[in-house]
Amino acid sequence: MCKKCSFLVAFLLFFKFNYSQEHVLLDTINNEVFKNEIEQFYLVQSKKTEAIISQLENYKVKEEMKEIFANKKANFLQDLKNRKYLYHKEISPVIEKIFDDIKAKNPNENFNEIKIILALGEEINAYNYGEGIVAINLPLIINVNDELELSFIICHEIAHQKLNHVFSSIQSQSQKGNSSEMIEKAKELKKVKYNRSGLAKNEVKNFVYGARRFSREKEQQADSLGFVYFRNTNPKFVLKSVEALANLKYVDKDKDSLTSKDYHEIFENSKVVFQEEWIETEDFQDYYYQTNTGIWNIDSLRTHPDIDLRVKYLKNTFKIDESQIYEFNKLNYISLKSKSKYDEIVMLFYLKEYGKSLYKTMILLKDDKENPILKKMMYDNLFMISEYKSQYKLNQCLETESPYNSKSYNAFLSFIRNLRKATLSQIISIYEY
Amino acid sequence: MSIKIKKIILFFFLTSFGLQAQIQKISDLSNNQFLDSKIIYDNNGEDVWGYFLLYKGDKKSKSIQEYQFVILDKNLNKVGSNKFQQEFSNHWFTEAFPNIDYLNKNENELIFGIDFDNRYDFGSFLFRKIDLKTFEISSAYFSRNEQLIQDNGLIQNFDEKKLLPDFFVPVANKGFIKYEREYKGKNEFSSLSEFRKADFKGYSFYDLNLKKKWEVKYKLTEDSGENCYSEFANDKYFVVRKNFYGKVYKGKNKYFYEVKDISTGQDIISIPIEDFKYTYVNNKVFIQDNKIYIFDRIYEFDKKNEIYQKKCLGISKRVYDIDKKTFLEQKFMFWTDLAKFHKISKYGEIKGIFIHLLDFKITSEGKTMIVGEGYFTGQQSTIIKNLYTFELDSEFKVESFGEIETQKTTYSDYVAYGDKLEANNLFDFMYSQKIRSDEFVYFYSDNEVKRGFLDSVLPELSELLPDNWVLGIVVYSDGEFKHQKIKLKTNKGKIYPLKAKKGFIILQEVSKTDNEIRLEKIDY
Ligand SMILES: [Zn+2]
Repeated sequence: MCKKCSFLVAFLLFFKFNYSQEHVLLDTINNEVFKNEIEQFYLVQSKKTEAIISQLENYKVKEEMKEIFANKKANFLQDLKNRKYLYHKEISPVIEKIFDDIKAKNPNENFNEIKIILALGEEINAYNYGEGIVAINLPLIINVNDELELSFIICHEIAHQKLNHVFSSIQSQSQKGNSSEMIEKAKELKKVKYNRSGLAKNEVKNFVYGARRFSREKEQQADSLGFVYFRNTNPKFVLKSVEALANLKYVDKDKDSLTSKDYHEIFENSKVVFQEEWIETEDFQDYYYQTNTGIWNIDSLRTHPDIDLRVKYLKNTFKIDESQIYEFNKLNYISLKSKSKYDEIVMLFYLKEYGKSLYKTMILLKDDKENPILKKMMYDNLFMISEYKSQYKLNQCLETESPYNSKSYNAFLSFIRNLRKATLSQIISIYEY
Repeated sequence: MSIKIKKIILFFFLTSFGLQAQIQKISDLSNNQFLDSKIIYDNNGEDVWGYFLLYKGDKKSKSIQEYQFVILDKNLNKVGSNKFQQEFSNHWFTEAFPNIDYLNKNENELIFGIDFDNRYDFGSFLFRKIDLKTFEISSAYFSRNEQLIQDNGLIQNFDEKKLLPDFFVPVANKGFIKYEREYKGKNEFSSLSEFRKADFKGYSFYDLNLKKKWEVKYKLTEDSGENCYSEFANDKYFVVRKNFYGKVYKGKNKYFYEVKDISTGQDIISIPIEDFKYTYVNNKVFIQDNKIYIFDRIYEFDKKNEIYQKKCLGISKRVYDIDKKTFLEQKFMFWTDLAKFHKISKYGEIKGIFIHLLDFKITSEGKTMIVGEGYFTGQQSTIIKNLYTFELDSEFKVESFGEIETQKTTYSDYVAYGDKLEANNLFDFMYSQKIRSDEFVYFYSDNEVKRGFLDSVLPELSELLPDNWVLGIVVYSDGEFKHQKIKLKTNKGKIYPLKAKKGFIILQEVSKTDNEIRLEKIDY
């Protein structure tokens, strides 16, 4: 074995050792202190919003805004109760440290009315919920390259908050909705007997939380102001801002996969004899998918107007010098990322995304067969999958094959569905604890 | 509360924590009003290829309505969509509320026929073609007096009466059959009922482009054809079952299966139904691996050809090799052969009911798998109850005979025997599917009221479903029949099943606010 390789092995071993020793796995049990703090914060913020709304002149808009924000509040508090937002003993301090840095380096800005919280959600995403809340989905932590990229994304989101984009977007939607033109349209809608909810859903999706949640103009504003915060915080690493954006373009790509060999290895030394036909999957060659079918994606950082345009805009506006490259120590963050993969699996299980959780577990398991956490997650996910399958609800926790998935993921989806009852329970018994 | 707020609130509920993103929502596919949907079968008609959904768009002018279609693949991914405009006039189709009456995929072309307001029954299709690579859609066309008429200005050029097109019956995915009737002095038929009463004098085959390919003419001076006919086809063969009487047959009815080459119309084999031992009533006929399988119910022979419904003795299986034009075998199964499994009478009476055989399958080893359903025909009502499974070896000897208990359905003031119950879709049995070699799945509804909405994404209908609706699934695999049930009433709403690709079922869970569509693998 060459030196480089042995170093790599040692490095990996170190991580594994480290992992079981130190890492605190995602704890989905309510952290009461955290929950109360955020709840109190939100209630205070929401009082202020209510005061602002009550000042509005247009009666209809005012009433509608009241209702929207009341619902928004109820929704947030419910999510908080349901542990969608939570405190992670290792990840949350990293986020706090980044935010503290931004605060310290931007002394003229008041960030006291902003809370940055970790959120459970499968999208690689961060979002400004408005009313001072910036949420960072756990998978984003794993998918940025380093803390500087994360820092830029946080700067961007707090800029949205500082610019009050959520409030102003909802307000302008409401004003538009109560314009004579929209009232006419609503009358039209009323006439439609069928598919009422469908129309409504799409309208709101597009207007309020659609792929283009904020206008291009608002995105540019957030990029610009966010860049200023970021430059103040990390003057040596301004280039990381555009790198963070560019990286978002690729986060969707499957970074790892399961091959037929992996399946064989996972099941070797067990009673289960892996059969090739289990992972036979749809090849989709029979279909010519229209490229603009507009498959709806929840608001996501990377679908914000257009990454390339945004990169160009930042480079031009702020004259970013691409030759200035400074080295910095990423090792801590890489270690956190590596450990957070386990958190992601636990999170997906918690979100009842048993299929995705199992897929990610199997990817990690192929190189780490005896890891007790992974074995437990194998059992937990497979058990839930078999329950859902026998109740004919499997599709609720396991996606269907799609041309937009990677081949490996499609093969996995087929694999789960192809397993006969008896085989599935045989596999479950391997991991029983 | 304004409409807008309702919308927003609804959205918040939907995005609330824990909602799974993978489930297809029909309402996400289009902003338009949903009209109808149909399953798209693959080229050989065996498996589901995808789904075709039709939506109503904006009204473009007084006489022009826009429609939108959406095509989904068999995994419910959106493949493509497009819009088209349809002209209509008040006297033609008032409501402009079309049903998809015909749908056929041939390579990369999808042909659909819409029928407005079900006015003309089949035969009145107004066709359009969709290119499955570009989703471009053709203008409408139809056939009239053997002429293809393709015109965007259909309405201006034809009045309602003249729009009555040729009566086509789709066969396999190759084309259409048009039965020729004796006009008896008239130039044309003014209605379908008039057409149906007329004498049958032959038929012609039209390809998918509505071009006449071949025709068959009967000599009405010698033969008389009955008004009832039936036909089926696959890619290679066309089979028509005809009943003739007349001088040549000395006044007796004669039944034939006429097997023809579908592309040329050439006769391949004619199969008579001739036997002096029993009287035959056809139960099922199909082609598999170039063989034609004919399953008939047998009754004690009666010179007058009369059938005593309650005196069925069993079934006959006949097999012909079409290519070699040879008779291969005939085998019988008598109800008495089942006595070792269940107490059953000579005429098939079991616990007071009779069994109507609904589904026949031949395995790779030549076994015959049959599923039937029990019924009892009373003086004033008809009862339907229990499913029966049969496994017969290659010699047609019964290997297993099983009973699956189902809820009893009673049709009062309705008297019918098996064939009529089957023709009117009154049995609980819905359909079967070959999962793979020698593995089959059978679906039935286990409830008091029969609902078989299995070919359309029409969730509104689910409100009509009874609360006790249960979907029964019978799987034949590893040499045995196993069965399971899914409750279709949930705490959210009701589940409405839809035919899916091999080995799967689509379950649409419909509630007041939501319509969730799941593609579920049969779990066995
Ligand atoms: Zn943004």
